[in-house]
Amino acid sequence: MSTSDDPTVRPTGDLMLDERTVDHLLDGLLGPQEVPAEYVAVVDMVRALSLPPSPAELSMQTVAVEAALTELALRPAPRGSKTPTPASGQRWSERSRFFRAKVASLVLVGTLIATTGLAAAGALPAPLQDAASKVLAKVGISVPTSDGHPASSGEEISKIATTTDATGVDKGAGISTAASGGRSQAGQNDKPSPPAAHPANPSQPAPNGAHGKSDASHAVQDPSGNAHASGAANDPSASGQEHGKSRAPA
Amino acid sequence: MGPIEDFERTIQAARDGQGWALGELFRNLYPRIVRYLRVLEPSDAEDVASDAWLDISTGLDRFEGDEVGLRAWAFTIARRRMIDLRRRRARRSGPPRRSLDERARGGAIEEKAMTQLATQAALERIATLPPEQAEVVLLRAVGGLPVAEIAKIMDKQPGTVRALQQSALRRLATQATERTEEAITR
Repeated sequence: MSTSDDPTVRPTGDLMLDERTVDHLLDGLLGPQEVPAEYVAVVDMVRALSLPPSPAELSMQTVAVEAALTELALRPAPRGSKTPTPASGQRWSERSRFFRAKVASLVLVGTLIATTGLAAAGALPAPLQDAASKVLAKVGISVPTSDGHPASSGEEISKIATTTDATGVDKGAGISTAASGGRSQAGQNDKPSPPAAHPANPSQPAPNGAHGKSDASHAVQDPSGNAHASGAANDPSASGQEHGKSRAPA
Repeated sequence: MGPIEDFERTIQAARDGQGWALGELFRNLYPRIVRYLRVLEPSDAEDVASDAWLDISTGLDRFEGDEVGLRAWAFTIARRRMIDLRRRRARRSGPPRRSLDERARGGAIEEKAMTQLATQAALERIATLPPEQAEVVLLRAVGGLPVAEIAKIMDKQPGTVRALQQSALRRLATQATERTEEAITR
């Protein structure tokens, strides 16, 4: 490329440096006082380009070296080996992406926890509920599918919970029955639930509740007397028509 | 970025898979390659550099030469990786990448955080040059390579490389002068 096709530079001769000066400047051998005034900023710039690496630039060293060692260890023996060389350049890229993905994973886990609670409460739209049921089953969390969905919506259950005149066991039984579509027998056998089912501190949720599982019998036995059918019924975000359905375990 | 201490021993140890030697090579080569790629391929600089690093670290058996030769070899690998990426991108007809001008005006936050401010500012100035001029300056100043090696890497005549570096420096000086004049008139 010639300089004549560059319209922004000044004509040849203006600001022209001899070859030796250009070489020395680019090699970082010239100080600002050794170049024409117009090139002082260029000298500073070239020096900045070759500054020692910052700690941030070297932050990947451990991973990079480890990846290189792994690749070297995986290399096939020079002779007689039919093991193919691993796809060079892929592993470390994946690892470096892994660290970036970590942040995204944390966000995902948070979302999963919230989603698990909603799914356990049956508060997700049917396609999501089914998907959540399948996915969570694989990690040992039991969540109902949309098939066994009771007719009652979270909004209805919530209404019962807040407007009924009944108290204590009677109130809980009514809510439980509505929430389970009539299947729940909670509160109808006059047996107190086992102590283990209750948290030591009434203000803390029961262990099941911590996983977002809806269990109407727990609501019935709430020692505070403020019965609640499920997390969905009490969750403002789950009280809408679309995803406010409360469910009891089958 | 200084020289590699005890070059021959370090290279041999790296070939033998010794971590300290690979670390030494990483510290000497990787930041240079990333700076070079941040101007020429800003969107994928880290990924291309990491691919190049693996090629370098696992291909040392094929390398013969001195320290300048090692850097030239490393930049050749990085440049080929960059060209491969551009070809793949062209085949996919992927989304357009930020232009060098856009890169010079802004730059991603993480990129800025990765480099010292003075170096980052210098890279942004270099990014305003035409690509070939920028590449020559980077290979000279960041890569520490002589004209003859750059000519081989870029597949050009040494005279062409000299013309490119002369043009680049003049343009950078002109820009610096204009910025100074603007600052005075304000």
